[in-house]
Amino acid sequence: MASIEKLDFGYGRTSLFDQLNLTLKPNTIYGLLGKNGAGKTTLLKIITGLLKPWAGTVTVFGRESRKRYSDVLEDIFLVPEEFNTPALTVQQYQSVWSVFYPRFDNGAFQKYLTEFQVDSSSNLAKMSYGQKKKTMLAFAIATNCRLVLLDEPTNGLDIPAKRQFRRLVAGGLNNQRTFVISTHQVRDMESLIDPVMIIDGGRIVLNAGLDQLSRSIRIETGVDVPPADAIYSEEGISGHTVVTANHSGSQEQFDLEVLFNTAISNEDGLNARIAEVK
Amino acid sequence: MSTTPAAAGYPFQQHFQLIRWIRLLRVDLVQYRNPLSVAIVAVYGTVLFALVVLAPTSGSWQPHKIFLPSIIYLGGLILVSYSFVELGDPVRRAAFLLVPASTLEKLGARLALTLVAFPLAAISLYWITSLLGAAIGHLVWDSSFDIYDPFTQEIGRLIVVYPLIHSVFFLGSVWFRKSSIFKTIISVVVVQISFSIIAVFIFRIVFYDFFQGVSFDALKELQLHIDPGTWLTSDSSARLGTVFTYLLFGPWLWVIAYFRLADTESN
Repeated sequence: MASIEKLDFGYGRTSLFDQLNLTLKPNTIYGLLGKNGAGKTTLLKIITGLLKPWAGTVTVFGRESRKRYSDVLEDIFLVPEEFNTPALTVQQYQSVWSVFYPRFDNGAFQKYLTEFQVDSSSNLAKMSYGQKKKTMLAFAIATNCRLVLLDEPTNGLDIPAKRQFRRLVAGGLNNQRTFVISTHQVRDMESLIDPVMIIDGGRIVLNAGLDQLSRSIRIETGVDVPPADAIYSEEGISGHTVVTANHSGSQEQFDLEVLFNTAISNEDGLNARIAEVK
Repeated sequence: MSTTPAAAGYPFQQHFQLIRWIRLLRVDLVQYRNPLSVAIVAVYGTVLFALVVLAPTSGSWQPHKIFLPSIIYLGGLILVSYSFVELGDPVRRAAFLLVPASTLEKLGARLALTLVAFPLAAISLYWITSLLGAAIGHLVWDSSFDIYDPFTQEIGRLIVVYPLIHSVFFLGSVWFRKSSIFKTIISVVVVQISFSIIAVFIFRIVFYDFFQGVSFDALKELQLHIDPGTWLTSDSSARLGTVFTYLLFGPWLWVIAYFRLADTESN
């Protein structure tokens, strides 16, 4: 689907990515997590060809993304955090733009709008940020593009819309498609993203499936004293939250936020444990 | 699953497909129809008003020689400078660059609108306005200006000169992300001054014997004074200059604009 090999990139003289490697496979919803300024948005822009790498190769569907081939762009859709909404009604927007996407599903778009409670006769320019976002997300899923990149998709969505969004993305997935969801609001993505990619300091510090993670580690809350072999611990109101190796072999539910903190704080310890279980 | 795009087709089809180009034209016309409509009503309303109010002076001057070139050159200059207005805004720039169409199609659509559609529409609307002006003038004053005749020598001059001006401001609109109109004018002035200085130095060296210091009189004696109006009737080397200026200079700048657009990023 998409491949990044030995990517070097930065802004001005400041390097952001150094020899970054990444492969995106079909039928997957990737969660791209990272702190503010970690390079999540930049990575999405490089994948789409909006930014050109200093060095290395970025290919989408086997072709260099930096060339922005029209037939590749027909199969990629990026919903950025801030987006352009012309002074058109949703219907007009659909009529003008959907023709650029050969597999656009008009019926599905109307269905998604109904689910999000967006009136298709409304003018996009006069909508609230949340309504605009819902429209763009509905449009993105309805394009049936094989690679859909969503940058902070839940920002500006109300609580019911977040749930609808998760349902639409999960429903929109098939064995031809890949979603990459970049966010720092990790709780919004629980039960949706798999695998989890965590980016920090210009590197992918964790890239693992939930199944693999749940067999590797367990998270306990309310622990009085963290054990010596804890991979990570943090103090909360009701005691410590502790990440330890999961020796039971059973699959554990866990908190993405704690996983994120673990990956940032003890990347080596976490990856070593995952490698053991592999 | 295939990893190559379904519609790869022949190499040229990747760069240009008529249907995609038409879709781009449609997007622009739909998205910008409101500001365009306002501009058309404002400009041609003003022209109509002037043609009617000034109708009693119709025997003494020809307004069409002033109004239409003003619309074409001034209006065209402003329109062309806004050809790639979205490049000035990071959000709109990203959206524009990700439209599933090639750089050639995107550039071609804006070229068609500003180079071909605009002058044709401007002349057609002017003809209609002059017709209305004549009718209203007759009703109100019992006198009016002539109806504009588009099939004159003036149009021939426009066909030659407009693309030249267009190409400069078109390149400026791709090159400069903000205030492209002013930056283009400044750049043209700077480039012209620079070329003049370089030319003076070259002439000073090559024609050393003729110079007693840098003097415009000396240049005059060398008959190096350049007047575009006389080029067509001068010798063959001057005709070559004319051909370059009017036939090659414009396309050359459009080609530069293409590469600049292809190289544009959205950071």
